[in-house]
Amino acid sequence: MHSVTPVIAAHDLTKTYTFHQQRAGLGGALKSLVKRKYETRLAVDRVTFSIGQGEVVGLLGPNGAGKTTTLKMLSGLLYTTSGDLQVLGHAPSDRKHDYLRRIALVMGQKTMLWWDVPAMESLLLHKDMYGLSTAEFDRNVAELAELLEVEHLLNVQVRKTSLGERMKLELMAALVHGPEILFLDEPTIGLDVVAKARVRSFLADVNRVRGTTILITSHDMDDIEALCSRVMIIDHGRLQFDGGLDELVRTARPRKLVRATYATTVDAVRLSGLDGVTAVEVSGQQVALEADREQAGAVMEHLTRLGPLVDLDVSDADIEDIMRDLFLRRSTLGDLS
Amino acid sequence: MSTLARNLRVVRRMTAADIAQQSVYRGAWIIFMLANITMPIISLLIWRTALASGAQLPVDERYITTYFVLLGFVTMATSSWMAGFLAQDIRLGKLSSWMVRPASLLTGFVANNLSEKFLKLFALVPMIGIVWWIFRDSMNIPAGPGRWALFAISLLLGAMLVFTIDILIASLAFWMDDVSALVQARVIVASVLSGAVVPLALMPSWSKGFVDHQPFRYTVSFPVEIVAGQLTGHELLVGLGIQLGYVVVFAAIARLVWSAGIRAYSAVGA
Amino acid sequence: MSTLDRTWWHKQWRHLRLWRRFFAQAVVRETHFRAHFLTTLLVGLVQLGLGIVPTLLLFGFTSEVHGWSRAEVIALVGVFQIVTGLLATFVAPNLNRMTTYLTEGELDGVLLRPVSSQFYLTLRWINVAELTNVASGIVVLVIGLVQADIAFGAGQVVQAVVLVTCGLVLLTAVWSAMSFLAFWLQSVNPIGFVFLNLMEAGRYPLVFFPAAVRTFLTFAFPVAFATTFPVRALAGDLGWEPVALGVALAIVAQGLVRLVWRRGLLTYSSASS
Repeated sequence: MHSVTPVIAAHDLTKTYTFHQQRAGLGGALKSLVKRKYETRLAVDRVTFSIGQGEVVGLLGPNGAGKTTTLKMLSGLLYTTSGDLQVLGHAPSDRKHDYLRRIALVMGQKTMLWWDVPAMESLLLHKDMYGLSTAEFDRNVAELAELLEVEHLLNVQVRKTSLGERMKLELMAALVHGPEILFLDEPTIGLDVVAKARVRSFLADVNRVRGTTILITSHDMDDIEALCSRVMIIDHGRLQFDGGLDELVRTARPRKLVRATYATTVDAVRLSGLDGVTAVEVSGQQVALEADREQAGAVMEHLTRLGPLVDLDVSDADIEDIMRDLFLRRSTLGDLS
Repeated sequence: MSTLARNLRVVRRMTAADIAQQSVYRGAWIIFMLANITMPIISLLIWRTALASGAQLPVDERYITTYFVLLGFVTMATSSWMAGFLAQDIRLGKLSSWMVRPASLLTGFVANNLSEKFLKLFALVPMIGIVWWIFRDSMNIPAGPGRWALFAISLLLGAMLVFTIDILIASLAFWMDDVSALVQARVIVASVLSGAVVPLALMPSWSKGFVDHQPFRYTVSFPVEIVAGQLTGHELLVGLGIQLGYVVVFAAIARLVWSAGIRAYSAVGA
Repeated sequence: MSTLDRTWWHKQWRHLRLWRRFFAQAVVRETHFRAHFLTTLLVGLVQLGLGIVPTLLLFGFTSEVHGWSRAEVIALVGVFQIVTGLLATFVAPNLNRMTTYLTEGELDGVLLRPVSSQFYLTLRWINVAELTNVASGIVVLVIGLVQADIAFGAGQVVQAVVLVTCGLVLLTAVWSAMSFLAFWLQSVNPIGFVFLNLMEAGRYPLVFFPAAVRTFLTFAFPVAFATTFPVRALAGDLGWEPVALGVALAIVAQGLVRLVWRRGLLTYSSASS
């Protein structure tokens, strides 16, 4: 399934920033007019990995970990401080046109579409920028519009679309020129559950049908679970984990946090003994606990039988918890990379 | 503590904070002031050329030179840009957060005005110094400190006049939807009638009667005229009196309109 | 895999086609906002009027200055209006955004496209409404030429057009270089303001200024090529040397701007997070 030469090859990729301190107050402000104190920050620290064609890789990590910085280096927006980086045989920061037209970057929080024209006009701009023939363009537009179910939105001004619809249009614009690699930075942020599911299934389709290599950054485990066979975790700029998703789940065992609210007080003493359940907390009519992902379903069933259920809240353990777990296990079980 | 003293203290604190905040933009003020003196310098060169090539102007070269060298400084010192912002605040209902505080709503604008002028001063004075030095031989410099004192007073009055006119225009936002056209109109009308485009002394004779007595003359032109020369002691004092008169009149009108506006604003609820 | 542009010409052609689309979309977008059109026209006329006041007053005191009559200066003002109108239409909307591109991170979106980013940044947005100022400028120019009784042949028109084009290229280069300072200074919003103020010198013939300033206005801030020289060309007393000079300067200026741009991008791509 993977070709011999990786499409993305990074070796000892490093990025440091220098910036100056700004002190508060009048004195500080006037001082910084004259003399500045510089500091450096290590954002990405000797990261090494390679990705083959057709892979769908998730890049996980807490905020400020270096995920977006890494992505920007891969797409050529940022120069590396040191290390080797080859994507599709190019050095991304050269930003050669022949490189740029083989990749696409979608950022969840920043739109690349033009606000006050219909989406179709943005697509036509892409047609001219990427030098697509009319036949190729029309075919891609039709295909993508159908897959994403946005045919009716093409002639609507982008400013008038909802967040979920706009994300679909962004994806469409990103893929109309048929890139070989798709970089996604927090693509599902702010979307509702239904929209998220649609985006995920679309991306899976694109990968399956066109063999597009996909690299997604996220701090949402569900995104990763739905799409990625391989996960890389970046924390404090270092690559802490690089392997299959099931391996991650097995070793880090990301938990589900469940909170149930009842109409009356309940006796939850039995819960502690349940398989895969920990950290049970009972306070009056509320029960909160942590459960292993696989047992979550069974646990919730138990909870419904405890009493008259008013509210049930299920959420993921923080990525920080996952990583804490991961390192804990590492230190006890030995290095896992 | 009296209301005035309290307001003054607030203004002082806000001005200091504003200065701290804005001094971060190192290059911006220098660039801004460079733009500011470009027009007067161009005008200066043009009119001197005209004179040199034999044009018969009602004023001499020294007057022209002094006028334009000082123009940039006086324009900056008397400027106000708050009308549009105040009108917007009124329209967007932002006055409410101010009305619950025991200080005049205008303190913020006064502080902003003072702090920016303070910073612009640092950028502008050296530049004007350079231009002054280049043209020092053809300028009218009043000998005694008396004229300069009067100049300073007139400058202050001019700034107050512009400020009160702006308050007056902005107050109309209590009743009108869109005062931006009026604000623009004020800027354009003022630029011509205040002598910022062409010295009022050069205006055609049929307009003199009007031009010499309208309020905008006393915003920029009059302070400059005090130094540039040609005003007798008597004319100077009369002029100051008229300037003061305009300030008082406009302040009174502005106060009336503003209070009426606040009442209307509070009646509806913001 | 085939390349995007087979030859250099293909690349230029692709960019030209892209620019055509920019223009078409701008026209479509602005025809929706008729009030904006009217406002721009009105504001433009008022500024034209204000700008011409000193000239009219000046010629109330004398009939000619350094060989220029009132009508000739009016023709000059017409050319000035055309040039500033073109700049306001095609260049201003882009360079005024420079600070935003950098502070809002919008530059990233530009850098990712297989399009020359300098081209995109300088010419992407078009303010069609400002073409009304070009129209009013043509009117003023015609009035001036008629009143001055200037007769010109095809050769002079060619000279004038080439000179105006060089002037536009030169002024755009200067403005671009000034705006690209944003790469190092963060806030260059006042730069556009400075440029427009310096432009005002273009309302007057070059000879109205002292010698040192004349050199400045020919080589450092070349309004001379945009306004004075074209009018003199039409009047028939300009040889081909200034034209050649203009073209040469334009080429040099473009090269310099490209250098500034490249350095700026280098800084940006090392620093943005």
